[in-house]
Parts: sequence; C-alpha cells; structure tokens
Amino acid sequence: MTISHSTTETFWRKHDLFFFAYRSVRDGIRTSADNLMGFLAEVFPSPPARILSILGRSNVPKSLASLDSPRRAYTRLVLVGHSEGGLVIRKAVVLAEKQSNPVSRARVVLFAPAISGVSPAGLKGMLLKSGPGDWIVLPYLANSRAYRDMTSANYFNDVRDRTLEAREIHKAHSALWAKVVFGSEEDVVVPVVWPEDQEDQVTGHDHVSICKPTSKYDRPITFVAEN
Amino acid sequence: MHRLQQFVVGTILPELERAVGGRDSRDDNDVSMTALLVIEGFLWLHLGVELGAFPREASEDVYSYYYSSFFDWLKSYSETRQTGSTPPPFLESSSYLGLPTFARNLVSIGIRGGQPLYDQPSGVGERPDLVDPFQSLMILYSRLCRNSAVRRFLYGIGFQDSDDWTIQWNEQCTAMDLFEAVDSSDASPTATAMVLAGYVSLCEFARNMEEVLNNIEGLAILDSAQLFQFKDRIRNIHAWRLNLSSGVTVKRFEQVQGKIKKMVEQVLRDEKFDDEIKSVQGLLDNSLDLFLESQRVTA
Repeated sequence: MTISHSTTETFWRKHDLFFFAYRSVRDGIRTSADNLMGFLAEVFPSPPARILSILGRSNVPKSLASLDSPRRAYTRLVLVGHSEGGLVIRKAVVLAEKQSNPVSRARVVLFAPAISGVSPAGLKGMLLKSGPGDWIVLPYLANSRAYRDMTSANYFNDVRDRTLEAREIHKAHSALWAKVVFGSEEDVVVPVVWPEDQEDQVTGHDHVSICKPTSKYDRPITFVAEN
Repeated sequence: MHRLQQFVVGTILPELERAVGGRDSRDDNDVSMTALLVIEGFLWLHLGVELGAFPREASEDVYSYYYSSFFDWLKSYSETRQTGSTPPPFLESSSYLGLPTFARNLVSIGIRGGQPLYDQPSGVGERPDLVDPFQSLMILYSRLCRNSAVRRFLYGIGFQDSDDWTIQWNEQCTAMDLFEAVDSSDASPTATAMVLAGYVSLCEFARNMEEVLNNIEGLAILDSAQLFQFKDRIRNIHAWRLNLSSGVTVKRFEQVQGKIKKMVEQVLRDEKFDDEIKSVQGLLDNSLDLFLESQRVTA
C-alpha cells in the first residue's frame, strides 16, 4: 500500500511535526533527555505564537500574515525516535515520572532504538557507509558520552529498570510502553525490546532504511500514524 | 506557520539582512557572494510558486516587499563600477555569469522593475503532489543557509582574495579541529577548519537532497521529461556554489577535497579500516555531484 497525496494532506491537516535536534556525539543521553524535556515543555500542549504566526515582525504584507496558523491546543503527543534517539526518549520518559508531566501520557514509537546496547563494529560500519561528516567522528567515538551510555549495560539497564518500576505505579502512563520496530538486517543496535513493549520487524531493512519512508515503503508513516 | 512564512522568516529575510546590512564595510567579494545567496533564495521562491507550494498573491507581495528593493540596489551597486574596472561590476563578474541563463533572465527582469515570478518556469507546472517533497527540500535548504561553515567554504573557494586564501589555507588544521568545527557551533575553529567543515556540510546537504530527489523519482508522479526538468532546475539553482568555469575555484576546490581525502585516509588507517579507504574515497569523489552534474554537461 502507498499513502496517496490526499491521504497525507488529510493527515497533516490534523497533525504537526516537530523535529528535536540534539548533539548525538558530544552530549550524553541524560543531557539530551533534559533538553528534549525542555523542548517538549515549550511546544506541548500549546506551542508559542512565534512558531505559528508571522505577526509581530515589522513590515509583513497582509497576504503573508493571513497565512498564519490558528492557535493550537494539542490533545495527543507521539514521541518518535530512531537509534540513539530511542534511548533519549526513554530516559526523558523516566525523568518525566519524577514530576507531573504530560510526556507521561504520550505514545512512544521507536525505530531501531539503542535501548539494549550497540554493536561497536556495526556502528562503525554504518558510519563508513555514510559521508565525510560521519567518517571524521570515528576517532572520537570511544570518548563520546552518548556512545559510552549506549554501550554501557549498566546505563541502559538502569533506564529499563526504572521504566519497569514506574509501570507498576503508573499503569495509565502510556509513555512507559513503546511500539518498537527493527529491520531484519539490523546490525548496529541489539534488536531486543523491553518486556511488554510491542515489537515489530520489517524484512529487508537495516538500521538506516528502517525509518526512511520511500515510495515503496511507507511503514515509517503508518507505524506512527496508526492507533 | 505556513511554509511560505517559514521560508520568509527563516531564509529570505536573514539573507536580505546580510546582503543589505553593513554592506558598506564589506569587501566587494563578500557582497557578491551574499547577493548570489539572495538570488538563490529568490529562485526557490520562484520554483515554489510554479509548483503551487507557495500561494501566488502572498508570493507576489513577498516579492514586492522584499525583493524588488534588493534588485533596485543590485542595479545601482553594479552601476557604480565601470565596465573594464577591477573588480568588474557584479553583473559582469564571473560568479554572476556562472548562474544559469534562466536565473540571469529573471534577475534582468527584476532589475528592470518587472515581475519575474512567472517567467522562465522549469516546465513542471503546478503539482499539488509535489508540495510535500518540495517542503522536504526546503527544510534541507533552510538548514544549509543557516550553516556558517558552508558560507565560509563558499567564500573561500569562490570569492576570497588570493593572498588571504593562501595565508589562511596554510594554517594548521588537525582532524580534531575539523571534528570540532563540524560538531560544535560554539567552538572557535580556525579558518581552514571552517572551510573544510563547510565542505563536509555541503556533502551532507547534497546527499540528503539526492535522497529526496530519488524518492520523488520513486513516487512516479512526474513523467521522465518532467522529472528531468525538476532535477535540472534544483541542480541549476545551486550550481553557482561550485562554479567550475572559474579556474581559481576549481583549484581551491581540489585543494580542499585533497586535504579532506588525506585526513579521512589517516583516520581510516588509525582505526584499522585500510580495506575501506578506496570505497570511502570513491564516495567522497562523487559526494558533490548535485552541484557539478549540470556543469559537466556544458563544460
């Protein structure tokens, strides 16, 4: 099945998509999770007017201002992460449990998340297939905080255990459970989900292609959109 | 925010402010490069209007509010220099003449006070089904415009005076300096590291653009002729960034690419990836084809 243009039009009329950028080599998982929490607090449930409106800027033609988006009051939040981003989200969810936070009620959808470890050889192999921006990272990988977190069983098991403990107390907190998908050719992260996570596998996809929709592969979109 | 508003706020206005603000204190080469960046932004607006991604009325107002005064300034700026002077007037400079014909025609219309938004279309026409992929391209483009290392690279290989280039190019730059320059916006890397980081970032942009263009091809929403027209227009919009008609640019580009190759080779040897060196260098050789293909045809 391929999603038609009209279907995506309808979808995007009801949904907004925010990208959260983090420093995937330099910062550790905790720092990125804290930054993600800060970002989410800014945009959910109501993003600030400056994100939706061009008003407030001088010398704006009326016709351009008329394109302003209406104010938003979101009722649903879906957190989508890939690879390191998966562990960042799960850490943020654990942090959110320490306070009353709307993140706890989010849905979590993860593509090839690094929640059960990383294969150093697989990761280096993936970087080699990319571009010069990734090649120059190779010598500094071992000293990267995020890399150390992702390859430390103590670290990701601690995040897992805290998640499992929180589930016992907050059964209605949907963010503590995740939908997780791996490709059958996964060789960068350890493709193991946490107990009670919903797991899916897609044949013929690897760590990179698993989350990239193409004309013949729309699972990344349907996986997020369904429910 | 609507995609046109996003484009105006995130890309058009910052470029125009850079072009117009403080121009008296900058050298002609810097002004020329900034003018070309503004023209490049206009070409994206022009394509977005043709595809129907940007609404016509608002786009016309964007043009008259923001671009018409830029073209007025460009005309007067170019007229302050006589033909045959050094450097030549902007409109006679090799960097401007490196723009494809359709772009120069549009600039001519703008300079004459006309409305260039509907002239020189790519031929693809209004395509609602191309709007989403076009937005993906716009996201990549706006990130490129915000990248100061890319700007430094463009200036270095295409616009910087020879003496300045030689002095800066001879600065030491280690793999660590390059990593810092690519990875951290708060570092203060050397000029050479910034140039190299700009090259790396431009490769990243080209790779992502090619991926989106391949996806558009896979969607089969354009027939082969229209697909060619669309890709050709995208490549031509950016081709000035690596102007192969300039011997100076070609030489500096090869210097940059050669240094990156050596650094990458060293990194791979240190990491015991000797067997991968050849394939990685092959990837590097082709990493900027997005900017080069349209020129290779005519070179």
